[in-house]
Amino acid sequence: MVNSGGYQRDKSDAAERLLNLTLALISTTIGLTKAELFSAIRDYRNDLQDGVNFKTLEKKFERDKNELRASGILIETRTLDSDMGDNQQTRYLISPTGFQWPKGVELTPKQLQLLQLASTVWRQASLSSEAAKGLDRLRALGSVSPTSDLIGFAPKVKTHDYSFVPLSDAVAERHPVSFEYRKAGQPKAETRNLQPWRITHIEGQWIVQGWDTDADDYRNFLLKRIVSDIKTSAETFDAPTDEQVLELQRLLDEHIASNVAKLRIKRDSMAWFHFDLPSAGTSEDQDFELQYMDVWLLADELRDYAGDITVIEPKELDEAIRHGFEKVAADHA
Amino acid sequence: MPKAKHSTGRDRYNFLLPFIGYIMQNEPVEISKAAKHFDVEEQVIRDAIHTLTVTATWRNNDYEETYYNFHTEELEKGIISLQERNGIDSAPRLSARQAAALATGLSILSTLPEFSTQREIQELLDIISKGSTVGAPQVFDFRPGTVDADAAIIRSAMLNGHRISCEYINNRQEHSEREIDPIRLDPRGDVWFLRGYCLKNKELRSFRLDQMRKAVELDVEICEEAKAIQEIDDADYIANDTDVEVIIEVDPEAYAMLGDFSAEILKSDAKTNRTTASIKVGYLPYLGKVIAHYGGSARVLEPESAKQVVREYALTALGKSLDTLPKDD
Repeated sequence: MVNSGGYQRDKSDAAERLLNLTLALISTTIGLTKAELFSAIRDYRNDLQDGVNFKTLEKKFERDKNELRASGILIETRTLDSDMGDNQQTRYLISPTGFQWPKGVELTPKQLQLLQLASTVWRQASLSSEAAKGLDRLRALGSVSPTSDLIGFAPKVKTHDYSFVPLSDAVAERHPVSFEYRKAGQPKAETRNLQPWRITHIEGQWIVQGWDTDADDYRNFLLKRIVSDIKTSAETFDAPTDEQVLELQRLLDEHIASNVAKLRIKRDSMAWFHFDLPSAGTSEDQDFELQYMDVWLLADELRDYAGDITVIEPKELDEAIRHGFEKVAADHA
Repeated sequence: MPKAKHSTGRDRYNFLLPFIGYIMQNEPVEISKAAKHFDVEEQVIRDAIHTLTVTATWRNNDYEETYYNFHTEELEKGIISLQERNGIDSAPRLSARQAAALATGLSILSTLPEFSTQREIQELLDIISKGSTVGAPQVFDFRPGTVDADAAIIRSAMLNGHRISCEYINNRQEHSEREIDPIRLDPRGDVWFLRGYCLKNKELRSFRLDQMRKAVELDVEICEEAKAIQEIDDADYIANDTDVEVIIEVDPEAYAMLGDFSAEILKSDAKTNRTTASIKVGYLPYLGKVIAHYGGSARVLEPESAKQVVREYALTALGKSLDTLPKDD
């Protein structure tokens, strides 16, 4: 297909430039140098002709490379033996096997429907947009569209915590992180250093789990108690083994199973509804036992039902509930 | 609702790549069918075709070579049909973030009883893992929370487009029998929230499942009003004209409150990460419970009436009467 350059130039269309860059890099086997790219990609070429200097164009190219990387398109670099020592001769390319879906995958309408549903669970804007982009890539593998979309059926999961996105990136790319963590009931935050392995939603809370390099041990941190920005290190750590991840989960499960609270619940109260106690039977209040992950979190939950609940044990739970009420009363005096 | 346009260059680029893969597999294909497949307006498809047509690379400083050429007369009839192709012919793999976001979505679905036995979910997780650029780093783990029997009944009703009846205790502690046309069910913390059309109040309302019991799926179709509700704002609280405006201050531990109340952020202290925001509250006494929940990480700044509600709630809980109130000096 030959075209003598008669196309009207769209005013620097980023999508077209990124696509052009992708296509050019994927169709080369030995790679292209910056100078070659700047003369081959229409948008760069026009910039050069408009008098934009090489340095400025290099910055634009860096930004475009980052855009491709953020979209999961891996650019490789290569230096030919004959070009050694000259970084202007670095060659860029995209390997077709790293780019393309493995052959032979085709999705059924049912699978597409499930993916569509799965892509709607995030309320957090950046994750929801990543899921939507991923869905489009998977849609390309199906030719028959699903018949219904089950609006509203998939639950929407909230992530209020500002640390959520930087932490999930650090988990995916295995970067150690540090942050200020404020334990419940303590006024001052402490710096924690962690190799983050997993972000887990448990008992209605998001926690980050991993290896605490100061404590030299497994640790779990509630995202809501992280009170600073996340500092992500440029270093990377080795991926945890499956055994380590299982051990981390086992320790947490064991911890939860060992925490048991005993409550007395007022009949037909909101707490009675909350804990889903049976409506038939006696007319009396009922004792109720439950396991918990963290005494302060349980105290937060139970403060909603003041007057409906008496804590029988443990004592720390009762104290945590009271402590919170006292602070609230003093704050609003 | 189909997407009318992609807002940024990156978004459009990210659409073009899988679009190429789809065209290669399916052409000739109607523009309308492709639009439906990607859930976008037809204009998005036309724009994509335009971009594919004009994208070209200079060869030897001599001529521009295009990658994709479409049959113009077919395009005029609304059919995408390739005349020549020169570039990639498959959709790209998933980025690590895309794979993590989708895999977690699937894991969340698999915690719902309706999906727990479906082998499709496991198959899809395998496909995502194979098709991701970096294998499948498992970033998220979603553990099912409390299993609420009512949630299963409501989901079944939603699938069948049926109404439910239930017993409900509201924030004013009033018990009632309700009929609700369920629209959406979401977890918030450890509690499920149902958004549905309330037949008693004749409007969209939010219901906490832990304040509901004895849900029954009725053999009655949901009403036209409920069907007409297409999109629901993500906020759990639906504001009303009669609401009171309350200014709150929250520490990071209580940020959840900002989302729950669709708060308007007034200022944020970069050093302490403490945020001041304005929220709307329908039933002021309810605020006592909400603020007390955070045990000191959230405070009401004004109005005085709201502060008093919170103070009374806390003091009552502590078993103190109002005259033992510590004086503010």
